[in-house]
Amino acid sequence: MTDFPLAFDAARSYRRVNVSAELSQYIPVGLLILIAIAFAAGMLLASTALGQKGRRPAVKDTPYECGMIPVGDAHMRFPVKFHIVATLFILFDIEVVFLYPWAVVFKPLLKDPQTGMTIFTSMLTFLGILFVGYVYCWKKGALDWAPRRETPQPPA
Amino acid sequence: MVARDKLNLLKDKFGPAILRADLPADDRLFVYIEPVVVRDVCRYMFGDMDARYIISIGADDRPFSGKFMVAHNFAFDPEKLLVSVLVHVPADNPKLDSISGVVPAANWAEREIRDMVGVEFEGHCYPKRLVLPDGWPDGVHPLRKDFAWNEVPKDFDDEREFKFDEPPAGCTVVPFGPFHPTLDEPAHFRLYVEGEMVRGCEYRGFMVHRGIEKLAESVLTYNDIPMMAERICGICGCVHNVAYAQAVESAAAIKPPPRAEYLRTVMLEIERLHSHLLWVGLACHIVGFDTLFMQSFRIREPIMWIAEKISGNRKTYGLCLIGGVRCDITPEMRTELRAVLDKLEAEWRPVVAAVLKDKNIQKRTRGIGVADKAACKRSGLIGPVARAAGVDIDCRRDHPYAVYDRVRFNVITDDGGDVWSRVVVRAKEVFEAIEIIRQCLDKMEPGPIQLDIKDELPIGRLGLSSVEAPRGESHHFVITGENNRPRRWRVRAPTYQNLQGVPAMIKDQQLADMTISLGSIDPCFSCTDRLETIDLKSGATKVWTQEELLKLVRAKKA
Amino acid sequence: MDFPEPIRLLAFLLGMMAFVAVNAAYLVWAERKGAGRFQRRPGPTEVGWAGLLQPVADGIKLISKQVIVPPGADPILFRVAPLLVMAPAMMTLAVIPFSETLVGRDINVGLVFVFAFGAINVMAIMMGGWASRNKYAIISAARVVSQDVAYEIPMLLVVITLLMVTGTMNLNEIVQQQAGWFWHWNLFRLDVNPLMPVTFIIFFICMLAETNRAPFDMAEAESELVAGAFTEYAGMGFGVFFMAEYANIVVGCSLATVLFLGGWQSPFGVGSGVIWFLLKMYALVFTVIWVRWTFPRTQFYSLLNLSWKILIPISMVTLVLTCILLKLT
Repeated sequence: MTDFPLAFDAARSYRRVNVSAELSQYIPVGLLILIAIAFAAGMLLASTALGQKGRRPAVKDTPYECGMIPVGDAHMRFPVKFHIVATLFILFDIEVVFLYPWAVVFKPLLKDPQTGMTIFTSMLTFLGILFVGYVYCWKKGALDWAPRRETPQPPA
Repeated sequence: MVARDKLNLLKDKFGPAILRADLPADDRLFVYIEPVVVRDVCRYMFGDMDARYIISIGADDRPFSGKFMVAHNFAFDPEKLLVSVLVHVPADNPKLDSISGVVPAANWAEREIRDMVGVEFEGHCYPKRLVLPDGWPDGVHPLRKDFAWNEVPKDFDDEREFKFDEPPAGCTVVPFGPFHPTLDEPAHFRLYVEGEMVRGCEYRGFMVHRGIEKLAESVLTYNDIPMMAERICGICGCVHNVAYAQAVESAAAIKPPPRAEYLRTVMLEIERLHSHLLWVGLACHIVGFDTLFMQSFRIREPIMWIAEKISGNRKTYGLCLIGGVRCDITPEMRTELRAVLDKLEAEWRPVVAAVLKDKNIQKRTRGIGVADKAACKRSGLIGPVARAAGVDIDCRRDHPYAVYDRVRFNVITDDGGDVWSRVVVRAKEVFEAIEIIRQCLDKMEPGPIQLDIKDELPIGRLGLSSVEAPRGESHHFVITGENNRPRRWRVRAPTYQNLQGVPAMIKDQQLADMTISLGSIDPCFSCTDRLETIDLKSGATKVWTQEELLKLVRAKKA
Repeated sequence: MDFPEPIRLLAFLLGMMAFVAVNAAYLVWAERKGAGRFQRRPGPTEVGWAGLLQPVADGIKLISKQVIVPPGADPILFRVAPLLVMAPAMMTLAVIPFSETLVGRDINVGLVFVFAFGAINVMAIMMGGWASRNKYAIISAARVVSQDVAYEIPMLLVVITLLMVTGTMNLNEIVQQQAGWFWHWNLFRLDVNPLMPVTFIIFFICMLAETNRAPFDMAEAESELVAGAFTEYAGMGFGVFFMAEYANIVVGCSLATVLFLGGWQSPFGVGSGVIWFLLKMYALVFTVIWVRWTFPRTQFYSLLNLSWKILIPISMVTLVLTCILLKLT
C-alpha cells in the first residue's frame, strides 16, 4: 500500500507490470464503492427519516394502473424478440471484449516486422467471421423488430 | 328537390311501410316508418343509397303518442340532405330490430338508447352497458319522462363493479386511463396486449356524465340551454352552442339576422383556430416533442385574448340565443382581430413548413392509427379523421349553416388515412379558418344581431343541425316541447363516432403508438359523456366519497 | 500539495459527491431554463433569482415525500435498484481525469473501468422495473435493457477504433497524447484515421441512448408508460433515479471530452487545466439538452433499427478501415 501514484507515471506500461501493485490499486476502488453506495443510501434514508408518515390504506399500496383495480400479474409474457436481443448482445459483447486487448497492442505490434502481419490478418479474419455472423442474423430476420401488421378488422 | 327524390326512392322500395314524411325544407327529410322494416330501410339507405350514418336517438314519447320513439339519422353529403328515419316502439314491449348489423356505426348509439330509454335492440352485436355507471340498477332508465332529473335510484349499488370482458388467451391487460398523464379527461381503455402489440381493447368511458340532456329537458328553458350546451366541451363549446340554437331555429323555422350569422361564423372559426393549434401542440407532446407543443400554445394565445375581448371569456363565449347572438364585434375589435390573424398566419406558416418537412415526426406518425375510407364509412368517422382518409366531407360545405354558403374556402383532404395525414389536414385547415374569418369581417353589414321573438315556439317540431366542429360534425337533434323547453334534445359530439373507430385503429399496433392513435382523433371525452352524474373523487384536504359529493351538489341545487 | 493518499482519496470522493449532487441539481435547472429558452418562455423564475433555488425546493419536496414500497414489490431489489443506479455513476467519475493531477484513481484500464460500471446502470433500471410489479414499469424495463444493450455494442466498437490509435486504456495517457493545438485532439486526428468525426458522432449518439435521454427516452416515455420503470418509486426513490440520469450525462460527456476532445488540454497548446475540461464537458452537456428539445421521441423499433442496422455496421466498417489505414502508414 505504498504506491499511490498521484499522476501519470510514464515508466509504467502494459509490458512491465507488477501484479501485486496492479491489484493493490483497486483496494481504494473497493472503498470507493462503499462510499458511493452510502451516499445513495444516505439520500434514501434521509427521505425515510424526514419524509411524510402518512396513512397507508390498502388502496395506496396497490400498483398504479391508471386508477383501476389491477388485473392479472404484472410479470407478463414478453415477446421472444427481447430474448433474441439479449442473446445477440452477449455474442457481440464477448467478441468486442476480445478486441480490446488486441486494439491496445495493435500499433506497436504492427510496427514489429515479426508480428506485424499476424496481428493484422488474424484480427481481420476474426472481424470477417463476426461480420458474416452479423449478416446471417440480419438475413434470418433476427433484426426485424416491428412485427407485421395484420389487416385491420372491423371493430367488435 | 333532393329530399323529394330520396323519399320517392324509399316509397318505391318500401311502399306502405312508409307511414308519413315531413319535408320542412329541401335539406331536411323526416320519414316515419313501420318498426318491422327499420333494418331494411337502414340497410337500403346506408348500403344502396350510400348515406352516411350520423346517430340514433331514443326518446320517451309516451306522454304524447303513448309510445317510445327511435330515430336513425343519416346524411347525404353530396346532395346536402339530412334524413331522420323515425320509428315508434310500443310502450308495453319496447323492442326494435337492431341496425348495428347493417350499420356498425350504430353500435354505441343503440346501447346508449338501451341504457337511457330502455328500448331493447334485438340482434345487437354487443348489448352491453355503455353509459350508465357501474352501480346503476338494471331496468331503471334515466331519460324516461317518469324519472325525475334529480332522482337517485334507491338500489344504487356502490359496491357493484363493471364486468369487463375476458382478455383473449395469451394477452395481458394493460389499462390506459382513467388517470393517465396523456389523458386530459377520464376514460378507460382496457388494452389486450401481447408482448408489445395491442390485440384489442375494451372501452369504458362516460365517467363524467353531467346529465346535461336530462337537465335541459326537465329544468332549463330554450335560452338557458345554449349556455349549458357550451359547457359540454371545454374546447369546442361554441360549436354545441351554435348547433343547438340552429337545431331549434330549424325546428321553429326562425331565421336569425345576417349579422348574427356572420358573428356565429367568426366565433366558430376562432374556435377552430385555437382548437387546432391546441391539438397540434398536444399531439407533439404525445410524441415527445415538447418544443413545438409550447410553440403552438404560444401562437395560440392571442386568439384566446381576442376571444375574451369579443365575448368576455377565453372559452365558453356565451354566444348564441335562439334567433341571434349576444355579443357584437366593434370596429376596433375588427381591426384588432385582423392584426391577430395576420400575426397568427405569419407565425403558423413557418411552423407548418417545418412540421411538414420533419422526417422524425413523419416516421412516428406515418402508417400509424390507419382508418381508411371503408373504416370511415363503417364506423361513421368524421371530421379531420375522415378527411385525412380522403373522405371529402365537411358540414360547412355539405350542410351549409350560418354564412358558410357566402364565403369561399377549401375542404382540405389527404389520402393517407393515418395520423400523419390528420396532422397535415389540421395544420392546413388553420389557414382556411383564417381566410373565412377575414371574408366574414369584409362582408359583415351593420344590423341587428338578435331577433325579437314574441311568440312561443311551436310544439312537437323536429329540428336537425350539423355543425362542423374542429373534431368533426357535431349533430344536434331537437324536438320542441312545452314549458318553453325542448321535449328531447340529443347531442352527438364528433368524438362519439370517432372513438368507435379507435379499436380498429390500434389493433395490431405497438403499444407505443396507442397514445398518438387515440390522440389523433382529438378525443374529447366530456363531449361524448353528456348524461348522468357519477364517478368523482378528489382530494384537496379531504377525500370526498361519491355520496358526499352528490349530497353536496344536491344541497347547492336545492 | 502532498497529502497521505487515503486522506486525498477521501477528500476527492467527498468532492466528487458534492460535484455529482450539485451537477444533478443544477443540470435540472439548466435543462428547464434551457428548455424554456428553446421554447420562447422564461423557464423557472419564482424560487430565488432566476429560479436558482428551484432545485433546492425540488430536493426538499422529494425528500419530504412519504417513502412507499409497494407490498407487491420485491422488497430487496426495489430498495437496491436506486443505489445501484447512483453508485456506478459516481464510481466512474473517480477515474475521469479532470486535470493532470485532479483524478481520483489513475488506473491502467480506466476505460474498461468506466464501461464496466456504466453497464450496471442498465441492470439497476431493469431491477427497479421488475421489482415494482407494475405493468408499465416492466414494459419500460424491458425496453430500456434492449435499448441500452443495443447501443452498448456500437459504443464499444467505436472506442476500439480509438484505442488502436492511442494504444492505451489509461485515460490520463489518452489525454496526454492529445496535448498541443486542437488539431491534436483525437476528434481531429484525421491523419491517423479520417473517420474520427464519424466515430465521435456514433459515440455521442450511443451516449444519448445509454443515458436514456430524449430522443431515446424509452425508459420514461410518459405519454405511454406513465413514468416508465420508475412509476412505483415515490419521493427520493424517484429522486435518486433522476439524479443518476444527470450524473450519467456528466459521466458520458466527460468521457467524450477525454477520449475525443483532448480532456483538460487547452485548444491553443498553452494554459491547459481543469477549466478547459469543464468548458468542453459542459458544452457537450448543453448539446445533450439542445438535442432533447429539438427532436421528437423516436419509436422503439426504429430506435433498435438505428443501432443494429445502421450504427453497428458503420462502426464495424470504421474499425476495419482504421485497421487497414494503420497497416498502410
